[in-house]
Order: sequence, then structure tokens, then C-alpha cells
Amino acid sequence: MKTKIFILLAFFHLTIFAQESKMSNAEIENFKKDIIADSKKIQTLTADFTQYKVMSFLDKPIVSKGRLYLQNPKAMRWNYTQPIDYNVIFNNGKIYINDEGKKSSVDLQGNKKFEKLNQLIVGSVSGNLFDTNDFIITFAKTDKSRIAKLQPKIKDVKKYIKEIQLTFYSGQSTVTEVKLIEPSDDYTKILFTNKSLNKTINASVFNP
Amino acid sequence: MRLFLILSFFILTSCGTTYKIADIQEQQKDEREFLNPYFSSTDKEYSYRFKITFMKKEMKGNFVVKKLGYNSHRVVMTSDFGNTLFDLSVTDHDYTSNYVMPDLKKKVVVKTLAEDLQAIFKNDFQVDEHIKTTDQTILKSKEVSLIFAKNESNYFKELVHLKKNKIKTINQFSGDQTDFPDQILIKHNHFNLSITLTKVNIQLEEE
Repeated sequence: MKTKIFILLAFFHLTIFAQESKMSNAEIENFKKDIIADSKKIQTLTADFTQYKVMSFLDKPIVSKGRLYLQNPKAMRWNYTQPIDYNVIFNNGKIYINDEGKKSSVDLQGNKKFEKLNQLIVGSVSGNLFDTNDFIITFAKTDKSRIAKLQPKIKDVKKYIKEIQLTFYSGQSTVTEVKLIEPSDDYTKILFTNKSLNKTINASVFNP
Repeated sequence: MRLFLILSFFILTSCGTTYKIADIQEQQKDEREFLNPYFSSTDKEYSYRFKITFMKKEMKGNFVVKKLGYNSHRVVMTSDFGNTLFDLSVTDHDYTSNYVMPDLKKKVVVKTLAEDLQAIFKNDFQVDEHIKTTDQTILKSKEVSLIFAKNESNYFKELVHLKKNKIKTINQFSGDQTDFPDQILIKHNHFNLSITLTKVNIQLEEE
């Protein structure tokens, strides 16, 4: 049984790799232009998300679900509803956490590491991470999507993240999949569905 | 960092209270190997939420443990955002850290956590005494005391981890007598550190 699963997995991996190919320079330029231009038009974004934590020794991923609210460029709320009610608000340099009714906050102003992290999270969701020198960026495409692979250059970030992969489905200029690969090669994949752009979000969503 | 120093201080200086059982009705020699009924199915993935409380500070997230072989378990703890905090392989007498988040990578932290988990994942316990009190049955050695409700002989409700007959941790198990307890509370005796594991009952859609 295990051998069968292994062969099946190996086959899937091969097909994934086979599908993915490098972008030409012209394609890269077009892609960057599309994403940068469109991400500037994003004022708000709301989406459902499913987060899969994949570990090599586990057969099943650890799954969490919720809804994301983004007000470009400064405010963001991750509203986890499963397996527990938990929300994190990034607003004006502060993080507010509500953990099943228990509230706490962290002031990030002056904390460069967290400011970078905040930029990184907002950038990953809005897709605008290309204007920076913080990453070595490579590009790939499949028949259904375009993928940007970002490897951090900063030593402090490298300790946590080996690579960030942003997948944009064809015809969409907002991210559908964010994959955060850790130094161990285990990863977290966040899949966004039911996205809605530039619809007014009630300001109270970003209040703790 | 200060917290870690305080933790090291407590670990180095704690001398402990001698473990005593009150109200003994019957006590006899009973040397045997007792198999741990918890987390005992090989390849099964046991999912929990964890909460670590230390000196009024709290850390929470996801916890999954899997038994990989006769006496080896691998456990991962992640934050709610998904990043790995601890990824440890634990055997009855040893542990290896596969990955520990840089901010938490302090020997005393990893060692304390690994030893706490070792105590509850252990494949079997060597016991040499059988004790009865009015409402409990206890299997005991110098390293461990397994406490059972009166008419139970398999699923202990409490495991007292001893070192030279002094209490190191008290581990309480609750749930329906299966290998997958609903809740586990690990409590250190000498300093204010506790770990609560609560079973995740919702089966979310898989990839």
C-alpha cells in the first residue's frame, strides 16, 4: 500500500514539475507590469482562506480556515474561525490579537524585524513584493498560472523562510496561493477563495 | 531572554518535595512492565491545540504527535500562522530537535519541553509496587507513579513523573479511555510552567 502511495506521489510531483516552466524575459516584464499596476489599484481585498501546514512526516496537513480583510497598504485582519476563533489585526504599526475573547496587542513601531514581516505579509497578499531588493526573485509558469518565487536575502528573514511562492491564476492579478517554505522544506500554503476587490470594508473590522 | 534565565535558575535550584501517597490501604511488590495506553497506535496522527503558560505568559498553537515506531514519537508545534515552533523526535531516553524556531532555540527550553513529552509518550513503564488507597489504584516506581480510578486498570488518569522519589511533573489525562485523550495537563511542581493539550475534534477538509 505504502509503495503504491509513494509511486502515486512521485507521479504527481513529476507532473507538477513537468508542467512548470521558466518564463521568458518578456513574459517576466509583462507579469511584473500587470501585478504592480493592478496591485496599485487594490484598495481593499476580502477573501476566504484555507491554510494548510504540510510537514514531511505527517500524512495529513494541519488545516485552519477563516477570512482575510485587507485595506491597502496599512491595515489587515486575519480572522480564523477553525479550528478556533482567533483574529489578528495589523493596523498602524500595531498588532492586535483576539484569542477566543482574550485580547492583547504588540507595538511594532521601531521594531524593524516586524515591520519587514508586516510588509512581507501585506505584499504577499496584495502581490506587490517586486519593488524590493530584499529578495532574489525567479519566475515560472504553468498552463493555468504564473508563479513568483522569492528567496529572502536578509539573514534574519532567511532563518524563518527559505522561499515564498506567490501563485497568480491566469486572468487574475491578485494572489490565489501563498506558499511559505521553511528552512526544513516543510511549508504553509494559504489558498484564497471567494475574493472580492475594492468593496468598502467597515472601519470597525480593523479596530481591536 | 529574561524568562529563559529565570527558567534556568528554577531548574538548577529546585530541590523538590518528596512524593508521598496518603491513605494507603494495601501495598505490595509487583514488578512489571506497564504499557502506556496513550498515543500508542503507530502511524496515527493525534491532533491537539496546545497552550504553554509560563510566569503569566502564554503561547498557543497547533500540536500534532505521531508514533513512528516502538518507542519513538515525533511531535510538531506550530503557531496559528502555520510556522513551525518546535519539531522534535522523542524516544524513551533521548530526543532530537529537527527544527526549533530561532527565537525559542534555547537548550533549557527544548530540553524541558522534550523531557515533559518523553514522560507522557513513553512506550512502557517499569513499576515495582502496587498500592491501593480508598478510591485509587497506583502503580509505582522511583521514576513514576501511575494513578488509576478505582475500577480502572489500563487508562491512568494521572502520571506523576518522579526523580529520586521527588515530584518533577504532574500529568493529568481526561477523556473516554482511548489512546487519544481529550485533554492533558502537564504541570511542573517547582516552577510555574504548565502545558495544556486539548484534542481537536473538528475534522477539517484535507488538501
